Amino acid sequence: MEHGLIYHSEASYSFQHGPETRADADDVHPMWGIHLHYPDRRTDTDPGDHIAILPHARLESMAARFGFDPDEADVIVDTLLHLRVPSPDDPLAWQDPGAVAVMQTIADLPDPGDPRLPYETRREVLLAHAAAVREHAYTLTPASLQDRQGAVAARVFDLAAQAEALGVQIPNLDIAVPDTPLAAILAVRLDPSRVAARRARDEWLLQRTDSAQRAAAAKTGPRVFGFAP
Amino acid sequence: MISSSPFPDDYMVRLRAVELELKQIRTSLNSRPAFNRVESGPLVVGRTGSRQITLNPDGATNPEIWLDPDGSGTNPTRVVAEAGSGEAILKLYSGTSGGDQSTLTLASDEVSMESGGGSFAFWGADEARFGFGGNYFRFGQNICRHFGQWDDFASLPSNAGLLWGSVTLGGSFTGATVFYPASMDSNMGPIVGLRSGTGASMAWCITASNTSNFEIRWQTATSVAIYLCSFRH
Repeated sequence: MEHGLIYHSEASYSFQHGPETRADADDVHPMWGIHLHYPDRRTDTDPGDHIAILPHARLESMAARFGFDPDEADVIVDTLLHLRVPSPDDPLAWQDPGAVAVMQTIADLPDPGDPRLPYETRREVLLAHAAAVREHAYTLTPASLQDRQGAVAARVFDLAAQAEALGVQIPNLDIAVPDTPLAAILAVRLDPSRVAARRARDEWLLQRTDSAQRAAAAKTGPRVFGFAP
Repeated sequence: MISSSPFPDDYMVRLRAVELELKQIRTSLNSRPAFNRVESGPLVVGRTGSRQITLNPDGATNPEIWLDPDGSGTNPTRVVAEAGSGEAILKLYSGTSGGDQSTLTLASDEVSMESGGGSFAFWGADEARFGFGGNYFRFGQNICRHFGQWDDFASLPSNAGLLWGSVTLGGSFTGATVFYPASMDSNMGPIVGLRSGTGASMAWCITASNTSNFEIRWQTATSVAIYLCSFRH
């Protein structure tokens, strides 16, 4: 079991000001970065810092596809952060005891991607998946307000030292951290119209999909060696 | 009765027969040349102001047929035979709007379609191209190429085949979990490259992969760029 701490969230940004080369004018897809810290990974050379990169579209897709409420973005993010659910077809997953325990715990649950399931059930299945990961693989919980404020203070201390060494003035960096480290993501409500549009598109696509074709696509040839007892 | 007339008794009947025969010979139906050429101008089929088909219209440089749904004479669709090298080339033209016009071309070694909007399909003698503007696939006899750019992975749906993208991370991380923009519909194969910001070499590895995300960890805390193409299989 690994325990991680959620310290901070931020929106992705363009590094330089100015027009970026884009394939299409609407090809702008915001992403979120969630700063994590794993104390147990920390060594002299490894600070144990990790980042989860989350396309904003994924939040909408969780509401559209799996029945989450657009107003429970906090639950969506928390579920996503714990959604490391391996496939039983994956031989490498069986090498990891935590992953094995997760797979065994959720073995009897229906496939949340099954379009026959009601949306409420899909949501419950994903919540159960995340709960299994929390129980057997790892947990991610918000770092305490004190620790997060301390992290900011340490960063400000570094910056101030650098600024002083360079002889430049920096503005006041007396930053109060928000109540939740996910504040940046939760600041704006998920757009229910976009969620509804995604769901309409998914259902339309599904109706047009030949179910036999899906079954055939799922059966690819075996390509595994050397795991037999 | 002895007739004093120099004509036979039925001369009126005979004369009538001769007149009829003469009339038939002289009638225009039989005397004028066959009606199989129109040389004086275009042939317009349809009432003025109504749907019209014009053959060989005035102002055309090639043999053309104009199809005009409202008879206004402006902006018709056109069937055209253009001169190629030793062959006629069939072209279909749409009407125009805002300077845009779509065409379909049929030549002995080429079939192509171009929309006024910018998309095209070209089946040529030695290559085929399909795409939109500067973003297209080119197929030769043995190889294919893509020109243009790949969509960023961050908004693609769960049935997307390829998720291309890059993420650049400053700071002191030694790992990242990259989420896909949806719970993907089947198993994913993340092809990932890691670029070190300092230029120094280090060990790194993908440490988890599933339909939701993949995790990558590296040895030394440094700024990195992660390049990825994750394929669905």
